[in-house]
Amino acid sequence: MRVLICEDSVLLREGLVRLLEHSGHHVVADLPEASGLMDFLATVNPDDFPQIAILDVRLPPTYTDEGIRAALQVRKAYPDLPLLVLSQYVEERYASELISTQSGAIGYLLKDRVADVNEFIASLEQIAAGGTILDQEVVSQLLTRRNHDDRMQRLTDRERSVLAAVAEGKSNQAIAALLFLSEASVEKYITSIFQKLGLEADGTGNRRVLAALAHIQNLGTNSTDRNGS
Amino acid sequence: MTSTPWFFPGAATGRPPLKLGFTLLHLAVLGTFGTVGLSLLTIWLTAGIGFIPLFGLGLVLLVGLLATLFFVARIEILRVSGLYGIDAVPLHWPERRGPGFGEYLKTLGRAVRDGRMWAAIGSLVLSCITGVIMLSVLQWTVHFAILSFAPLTNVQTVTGPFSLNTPADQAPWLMLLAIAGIGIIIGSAFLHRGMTVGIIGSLARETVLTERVRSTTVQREGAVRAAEVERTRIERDLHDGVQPRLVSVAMTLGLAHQQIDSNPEAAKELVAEAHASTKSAITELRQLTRGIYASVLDDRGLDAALSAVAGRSHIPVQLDVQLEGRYPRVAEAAVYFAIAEALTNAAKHSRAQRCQVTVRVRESETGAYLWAKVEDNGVGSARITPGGGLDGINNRVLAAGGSLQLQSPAGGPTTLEVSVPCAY
Repeated sequence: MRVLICEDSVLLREGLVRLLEHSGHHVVADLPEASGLMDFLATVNPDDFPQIAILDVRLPPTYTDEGIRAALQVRKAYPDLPLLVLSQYVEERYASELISTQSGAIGYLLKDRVADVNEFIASLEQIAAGGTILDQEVVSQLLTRRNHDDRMQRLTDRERSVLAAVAEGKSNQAIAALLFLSEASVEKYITSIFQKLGLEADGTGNRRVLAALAHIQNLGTNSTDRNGS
Repeated sequence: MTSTPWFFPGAATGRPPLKLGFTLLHLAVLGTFGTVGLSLLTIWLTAGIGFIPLFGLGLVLLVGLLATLFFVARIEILRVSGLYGIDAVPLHWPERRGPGFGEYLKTLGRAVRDGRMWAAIGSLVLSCITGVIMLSVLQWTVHFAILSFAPLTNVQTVTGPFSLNTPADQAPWLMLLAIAGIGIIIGSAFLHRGMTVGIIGSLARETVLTERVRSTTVQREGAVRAAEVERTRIERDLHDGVQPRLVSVAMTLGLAHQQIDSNPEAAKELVAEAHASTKSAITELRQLTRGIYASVLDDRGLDAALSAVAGRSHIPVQLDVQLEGRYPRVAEAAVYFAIAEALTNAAKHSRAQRCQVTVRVRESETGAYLWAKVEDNGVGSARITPGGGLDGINNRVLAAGGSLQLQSPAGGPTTLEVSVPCAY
């Protein structure tokens, strides 16, 4: 598939290009900063329009949250373009801002995950296909923030780890493999979790992930403004 | 005591109240007894100097005199600040900075050179003189006032002070002198206020400035030490953790490189091992650098930055943060560092099963401050040792103008509280 890369570190950018080309994908552009991103998307030949964009969070000139702001800008202009945001550190606050766009496929992963080449490529393809994937570190942060919520207290430890895996965007099959369960019992757990949390249980795939995430985010009241500045 | 000292710009009143009645009472008492007391002190001083040849007995007398002067000066400062509502810091005998007789002599030297003490004694002397003048004028005033009623009696002349003979029919004019006397008495009250407030008030200002210099020094030392401790810690973490790991990765890859032709299966295993090692080195580096600084702290604030700190803690953390908006960068960074480091510390030493982190904004008389509490149910006995994690927190918090409290009895629980000022 056609990939756009926006990453300031030369080493990592070239590494990503090599990795993607090696896996049979095509890098249509590799940009060192976010400023040229919108121009590129506006002027690019439709046949070369990327099927997924990979963005780093910390980009020049300020090296704070440029990538997040660029991602939100791209999401507004091209809602159907799947985005994968990579970062040296993942932050639940950024994740919340990215997910609150409520449409389109999104991924938010630690840069370190690139080291697991096969998993990384699999995640990339899953996002390009419309999935949502969050790094397990973000999910554990979100759960930490909400741990003292009554409704979360009702979950058993096992249910909590299943919920975390759902929020990360894992399929039932992947969850079963991860937690050494049968797929049938994963489904049972999910039904029970969604019941306890009062969620619509018929969601599958991405809708299920978003439901779980939205729920985790909306628990508690100490979330600050999420307008994505 | 007023809540805002009069000498601060923006204080409600430009000048302290006169409190005429109380001031005159003070002057009367000082005029009556103060002179006696001052004479006694003078005699004491003369005796002290005179007895020096006598086995140094005079020296003992002089030390006693010095202590008495301190006591008197302390009372004087209390008297003036109480009367006119000045926020003056009480006077204390200087502290001994070490054991031994030499240090005691140095302390005496500092006591003799204590400008605040001498200024307060000066203020007392001036007040006593004013009191004596006030009492004499009062005497004449009463005298003249009585004499001015002479025409009601059968005398020809009245004799006032300084043997001034006045014809009885002119006597009513003496009333003017009495009125002038009342003016002088009121004037003496003004004079007293002006002199004492001038002297004691300037002392108060000086004390405030001295205190400010002291706290600035403490802050600066804290900042310097915090940087030192942190640098040492980073160096140690890199040296003990990431560096050897990378060395072993390079070795493993070297081995794999050797065996890649002869034994591809073993080489594959070695490469997988190197890959795993590299990933854990990356994780270690990430956690190390994020403990130092988090960019999310800059663009989303303390609340957002604490999620990751709590999320990656080895001990399960309950996070309870209630903050509105943003606070000064220095305060946010100090509290962030304190919490991150406290959790790292707890994971290393406390053997706790749970941590609770609470962050609030609190108001005090001196303004708002960020308050954070980190509690764990571990084994306790945490101490601040130079160069340790808690020392790093302490220095960092001091540098931000804040304070730290540690309660960690043996057997736990450990509670660390930090408060850092954050003006809006």
